[in-house]
Amino acid sequence: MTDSPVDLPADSNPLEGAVRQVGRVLLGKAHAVRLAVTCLVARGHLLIEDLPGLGKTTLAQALAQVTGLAYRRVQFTSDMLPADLTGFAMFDKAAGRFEFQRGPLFCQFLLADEINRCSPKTQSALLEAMEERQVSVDGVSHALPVPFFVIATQNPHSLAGTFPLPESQLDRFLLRISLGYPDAGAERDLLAGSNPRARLAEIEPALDAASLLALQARAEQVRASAAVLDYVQRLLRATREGGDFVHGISPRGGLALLQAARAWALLGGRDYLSPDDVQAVAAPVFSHRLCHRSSGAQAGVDALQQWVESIDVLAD
Amino acid sequence: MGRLAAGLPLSRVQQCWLLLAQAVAAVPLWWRLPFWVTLVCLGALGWRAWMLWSGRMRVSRWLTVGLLGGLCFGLVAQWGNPARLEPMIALLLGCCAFKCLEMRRIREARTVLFLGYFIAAVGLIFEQRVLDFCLAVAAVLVTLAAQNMAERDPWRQYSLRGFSLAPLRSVGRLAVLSIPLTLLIFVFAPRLPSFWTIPLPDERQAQSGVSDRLNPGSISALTRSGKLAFRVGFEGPVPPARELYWRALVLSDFDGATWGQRGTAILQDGAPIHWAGPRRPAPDWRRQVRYRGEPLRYRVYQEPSGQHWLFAIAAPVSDEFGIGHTAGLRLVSRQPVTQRVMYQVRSYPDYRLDPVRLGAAARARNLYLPAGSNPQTRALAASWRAEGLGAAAIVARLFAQFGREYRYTLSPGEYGRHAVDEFLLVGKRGFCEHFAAATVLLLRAAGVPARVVVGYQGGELNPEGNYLLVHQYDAHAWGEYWEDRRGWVRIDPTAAVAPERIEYGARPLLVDEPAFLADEFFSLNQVRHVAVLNWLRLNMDNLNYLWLSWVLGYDSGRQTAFFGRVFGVFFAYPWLWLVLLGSGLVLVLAVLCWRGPRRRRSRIERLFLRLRRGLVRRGLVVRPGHSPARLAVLSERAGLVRAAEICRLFDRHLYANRECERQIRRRLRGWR
Repeated sequence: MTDSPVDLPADSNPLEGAVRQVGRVLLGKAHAVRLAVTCLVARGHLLIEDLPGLGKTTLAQALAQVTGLAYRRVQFTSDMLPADLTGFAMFDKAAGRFEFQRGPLFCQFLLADEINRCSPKTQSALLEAMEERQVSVDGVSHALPVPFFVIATQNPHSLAGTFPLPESQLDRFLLRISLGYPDAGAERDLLAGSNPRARLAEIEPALDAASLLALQARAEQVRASAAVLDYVQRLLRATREGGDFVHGISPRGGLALLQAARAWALLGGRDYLSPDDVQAVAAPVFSHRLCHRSSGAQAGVDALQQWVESIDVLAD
Repeated sequence: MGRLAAGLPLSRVQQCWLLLAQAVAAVPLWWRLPFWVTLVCLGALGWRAWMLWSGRMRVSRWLTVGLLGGLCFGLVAQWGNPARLEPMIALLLGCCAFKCLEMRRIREARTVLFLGYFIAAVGLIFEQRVLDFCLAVAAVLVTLAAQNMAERDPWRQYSLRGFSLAPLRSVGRLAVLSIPLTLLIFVFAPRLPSFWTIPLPDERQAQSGVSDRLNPGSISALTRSGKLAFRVGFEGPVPPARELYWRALVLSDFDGATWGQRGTAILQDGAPIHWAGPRRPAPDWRRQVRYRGEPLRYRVYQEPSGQHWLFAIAAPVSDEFGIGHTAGLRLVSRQPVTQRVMYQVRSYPDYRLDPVRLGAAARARNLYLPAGSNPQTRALAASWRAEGLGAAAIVARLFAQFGREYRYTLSPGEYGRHAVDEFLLVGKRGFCEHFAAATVLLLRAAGVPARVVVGYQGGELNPEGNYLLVHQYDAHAWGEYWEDRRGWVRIDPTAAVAPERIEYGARPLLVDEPAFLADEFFSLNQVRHVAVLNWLRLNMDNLNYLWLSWVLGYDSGRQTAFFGRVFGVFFAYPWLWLVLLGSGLVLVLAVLCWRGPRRRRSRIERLFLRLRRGLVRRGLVVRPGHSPARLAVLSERAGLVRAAEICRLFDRHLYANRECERQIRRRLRGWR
């Protein structure tokens, strides 16, 4: 495709650099890393669902480091209150008035670890902040920093002592991914190599807040032709009419799909959207928004990928 | 999408189901075909299953061609003339099994599936018992499940570990839902006469039961078989066994060794046959018969015999189409009985002949003895005659002798040229054919017209369904002589020597003889002394009997009668129902299938579909979700450079907003 318009050559694409850097820490998970970066560029929030010890935190830390954003980590517990997250008004004796103390939410890159361990009240405070990008305490709104990106991790619901997120709140996350076990080669490298924590320190920032904002703006400029919009509509209709799922994807879900696909196209160095981009992000976008009619469980990524490939790309 | 799917490779679960369906569909045929054909077909399926496990997928085309050649050669060697039913079925099964060997894509699977349905139906050609029907239904269900699996979401590769019976369950649900429609079709669809015939199994092989020749040993040979000859359902109470003489043939001609019928092809007993049906002029002999008294009404369900003769008692009358009455007061069928037939009969035990008259030709025929045969028997007859004994007295004296000195046995030993002489005066051991032949011969020698009758005697009453089962071992031979005032009088010498044979049937008498049921490999007939198994046997037969009388017996005549009774005369025509139901069904289907006007495809869409079809034809696995860019990569990998180029043009045209339609058109020209 020598003559197709590529305005970001692969080697000078900062996003590719970021992906490569993170991939050096999180071995053998290139696809998950690409999806995480896509989520970041698409102004979305990321939900990572996996068992403990599979590299969720490492991914978040590496990503924070490579983007050079102000990073905070909050470990969610069952006794956590919303004010622990947002901050609270404290009486300042010297000044004689209430002073707003900012909570850990006021950062650019938040890792909300084990989000399903805290009570629904605290969960909804976080999710509201993610959606509104501002925090209201005592009737005063405080804007969150820009960019603002949340990676939430959660353990699968079958583990004891968790509060599963309701579907309406899952919708706040653009993508849901799971890392899974590494393959044999990657695991061997991991075991043989140095401590991942030490390698984290070696990561050089490939981006900064300003360039990230520029990239986010650029992603929104990625062109979507009528043919690809037709395709997206066909996918959405298939989730609603095919009878495979309990409820179809909402229009907001459709927008999310498009947003993520645009970021993925930018990551691939293209300024137009192709069905491949849509397919690449469709499973992570849909997996927490769809329930299988037959099992009642949330759709598995592999099954969804196969389902997506069964929808005709051009004609009915 | 159908075309794209046809080119997809089959996943392993799908292959598993297809092989299973093949194996199940052919089960009823395995017993019908030679051992080696079954072995070859199962071998091919087993080999395919092994390939499935081992992951080896290719079979050389030459190998399948070689196998097919070998099969054809074997079939010709086995049957000589392959244009008959069994070799054709064997060929079908073989081809289907070999097709499985090279089955890799859904396209080939469809061929195998539809052949599977055909094979399941072919299984019903030979037999239509309840068991056969159940097997056919099972075969259709498994084949449906295989089809369900093969066509279900063809883009997904199911792994073997995910093997479950779920497709069978969903197909079963569909089958249950379709039962009302099936019943409706069963009741209302017109029973068409067969509009094509198949070359039937070898005529001679298929002939079974009593034959039109009687010589020493021909009846006793039948006792080696426990096969069913026919079933009889009486409308009233079942008459006692001593009245149940099922006449099949009247043998008047004796050549010194064998009793038979001379000349006539359809065995018309020396007079024209009177076929059933209105406005058929009755021949002379029929006008002589006075059918009097209360008739016995019964229905005979005859197993295929390959012969023309039917079974009835006394003086029978039947109104069924294709059935004729002969001068010997028997029933015959116009077509040989190669399939199970049912006929309704009225029998008049109290019939009379009026006038009682035997024509000169018939008298001569029933008196004829070849010169020089059995001289001692003739001498004995002459001496009894000289004593002034009449026919009845001769019979009485002979039967008294039989009762005193003779033995009824299945293995009487060999008799030579003058068989009756040796049997009557020396051996004194015989089976019913010996006694009947000797009695008739002695009567003829004494100047009394007499003839041999063969058929079946008695039958086993099935208390579960109150009907009679007549087996091959119930075959019997007896005699008739002419009395000028009464007509033909039945004489059964077996009743004199072994009265229990007549009262209780052949079975208890013969069960200890080694030759009895010797041809049965294993049947429930052999273990009747075990009460549970006997109960099982009778109940199973009763099930088949009900099936015969209610399902298979529902023919066009009964259908018309049923419609007439329920809906009135006007609606008695099955054709009317066919038109009504058929058009109703078409209407319902049309409403169900109508999905509103289809969107017309744009030009570029049609071009893309053409491209995809071309790629499928070139062996690429194309899924509906493959974008042009992805197809370009796949084509490149398969070495299709030009196709890859066209795919990239599509990508640019559709998604990068670069107008490339003319280029696409030019490149696609001549690319199929």
